[in-house]
Amino acid sequence: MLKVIQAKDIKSSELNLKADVVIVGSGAGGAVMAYELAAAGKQVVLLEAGPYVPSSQFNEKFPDMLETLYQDHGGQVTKQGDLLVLQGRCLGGSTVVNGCVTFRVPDFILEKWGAEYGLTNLTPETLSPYFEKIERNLSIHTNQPHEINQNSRKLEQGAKALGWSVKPLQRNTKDCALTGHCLSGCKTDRKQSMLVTYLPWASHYGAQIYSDCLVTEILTDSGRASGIKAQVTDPQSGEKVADMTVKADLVVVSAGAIQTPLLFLRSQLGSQNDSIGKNFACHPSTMIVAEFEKDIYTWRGAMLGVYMDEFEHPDKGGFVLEGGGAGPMEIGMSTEPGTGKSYLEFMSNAKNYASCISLIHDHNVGQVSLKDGQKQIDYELSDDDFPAMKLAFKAAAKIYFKAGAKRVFLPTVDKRIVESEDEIDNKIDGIENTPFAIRMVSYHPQGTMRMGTDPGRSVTNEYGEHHGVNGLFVADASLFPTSIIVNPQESVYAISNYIADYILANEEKYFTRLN
Amino acid sequence: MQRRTFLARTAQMGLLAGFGVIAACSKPDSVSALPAGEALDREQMFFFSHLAQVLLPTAGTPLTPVNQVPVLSNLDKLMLTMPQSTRTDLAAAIKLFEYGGMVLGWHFSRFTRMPDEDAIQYIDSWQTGHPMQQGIVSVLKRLVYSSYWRDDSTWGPLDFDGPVSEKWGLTSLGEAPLPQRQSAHLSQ
Repeated sequence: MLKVIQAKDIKSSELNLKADVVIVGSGAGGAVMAYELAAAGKQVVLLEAGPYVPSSQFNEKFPDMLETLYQDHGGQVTKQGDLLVLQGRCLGGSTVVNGCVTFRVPDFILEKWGAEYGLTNLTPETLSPYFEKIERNLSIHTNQPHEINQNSRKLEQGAKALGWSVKPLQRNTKDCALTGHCLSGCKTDRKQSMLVTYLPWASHYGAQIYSDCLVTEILTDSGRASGIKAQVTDPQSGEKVADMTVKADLVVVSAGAIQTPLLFLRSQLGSQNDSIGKNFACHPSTMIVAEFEKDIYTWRGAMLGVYMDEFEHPDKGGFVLEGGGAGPMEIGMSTEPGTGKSYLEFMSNAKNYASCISLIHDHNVGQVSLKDGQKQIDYELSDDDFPAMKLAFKAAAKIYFKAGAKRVFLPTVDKRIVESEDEIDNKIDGIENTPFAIRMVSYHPQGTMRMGTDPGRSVTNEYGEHHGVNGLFVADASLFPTSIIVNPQESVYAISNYIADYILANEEKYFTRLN
Repeated sequence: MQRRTFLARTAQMGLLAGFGVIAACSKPDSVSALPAGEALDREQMFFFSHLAQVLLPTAGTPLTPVNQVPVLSNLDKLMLTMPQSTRTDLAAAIKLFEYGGMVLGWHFSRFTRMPDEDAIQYIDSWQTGHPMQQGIVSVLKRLVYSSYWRDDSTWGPLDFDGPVSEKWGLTSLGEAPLPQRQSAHLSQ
């Protein structure tokens, strides 16, 4: 049973706690870590900066939920403002608001990590039992035929006609009710997010879970992590309720690829190579929309059904397309059909559209930093990644025309509508890599606390422990040395569990209370 | 990347310089007709009112008439969720867009005084203009669109179902049962 201590429950202006482990963040990395360590008998305190919003309060209206459950009320953007970075900021983190898609880290990515960053410990064989365990615990399964809606059927139909590989996605849902509202949180708890799985399980084993607690500093003592400082804030008024200190033998930071480096920077815990916050990647994602004669109702059914992986490997293009449904609002934002009457005509045909999401295997060219104490995300689509983006558009357009589309709307800021297969190359080749040229969103920030064996090129070692501070671990997607091209949640779960096992296998080194 | 930033800043400074001269001798004529919001001032309300009319010409379509949807109120509420720094940036962007027609291109008018056809042409010219112009016009459009489509009354004409769980009588599955603990650590 999930027990959460919220700002409204705190009656004193100062809280001083002690624990074996303090965990920062309650998403994929933090929740798994909390459960594994608590179940092994450790005293765990987990702190979440966002509010605790029970699923009964989810209203299935995307704009409302953006403002309630997402970082910066859904308005987290890069410095230039042309890339929206969507992350959950609530108990359960992004696992509450994602599209339920799960993938293991592709083997070719693990091979690259081994060869280039010394992560030879993270082999497919080593991680396989972790993936299996996560898949069991979170009811991860391959989409069944009834979970593939008309929207995804169009992607499947076109890809198959072209002879390209297309597969059902895997998702962490149990008896999915097919409402299509995943991004607004699952009101009926079919999505097996951390809110209904690992967090209540951790709570069962005694983990103390706090929401509304922003960790402001990691504390160290003689080269060892010794705890954290935090501030408890009323989520309604924004006013400070209490200062909090948690003394602990071990600190695990799982605040995500944006907040984790910011916390390290605020704590002045640099790395030997000054790389904290660098190497940001994010799978810049776009939505390609195609119009059909028949009604598709892209928003009906499971939100994500199939994916086209023909070009997944970087040698073949480095992108995937996922059949992703969307409500009218998202469709209206994803493309530029013109101004005034032409826009309204486009929207009037919303039920005739199919849509897919492109994800590209981007290079780690971005950076998260503090400027005058404020978060700054620098990211521009690199010229090296631009061809993959255009190839993704071309592939999507080809697929949709093969499936019988009347026209395809490209995700550009200027009006680019492809009226026939013959126009594909010309229309897409004409897109230039300038800021705002492409309407991009990122759901997968990664890479800002790079993991590796060489302290000169990475922030943490091969087990996620900071190279310079003992007992200070990272367990989230910021560890990934490169982008992984596919949805990262399952990889974060597995690597967090792997790190938890490493900690438990070496507990005499980490838990001084035992000595 | 440095070149992009330089271009954006240069264009922005040029626009601001022109804006300073023109703003001094231009006064809106219908601003007082609208009350200020909690986040938006009267001038901004007037600006978005005009922009919404241009972007959403619903008359003669089956779509919900724009004047029956609380676009400005929704927009004002949305702005309240934004940090002050973002609101300040947006205020500057609105002014650039409002007066840009008098500095760039051949419109010779503030945006809110342009007839609809000219206003559409002006918007489209920004859409294909300098990246900074593209950015501003994209943001402004998104704000208006999201403030219109978020209203339940706009969904019916599109056959959009909106929230369904309660309508369908779906029950919550609640928390998942505890998994069986594995006795030994997995291999390292």
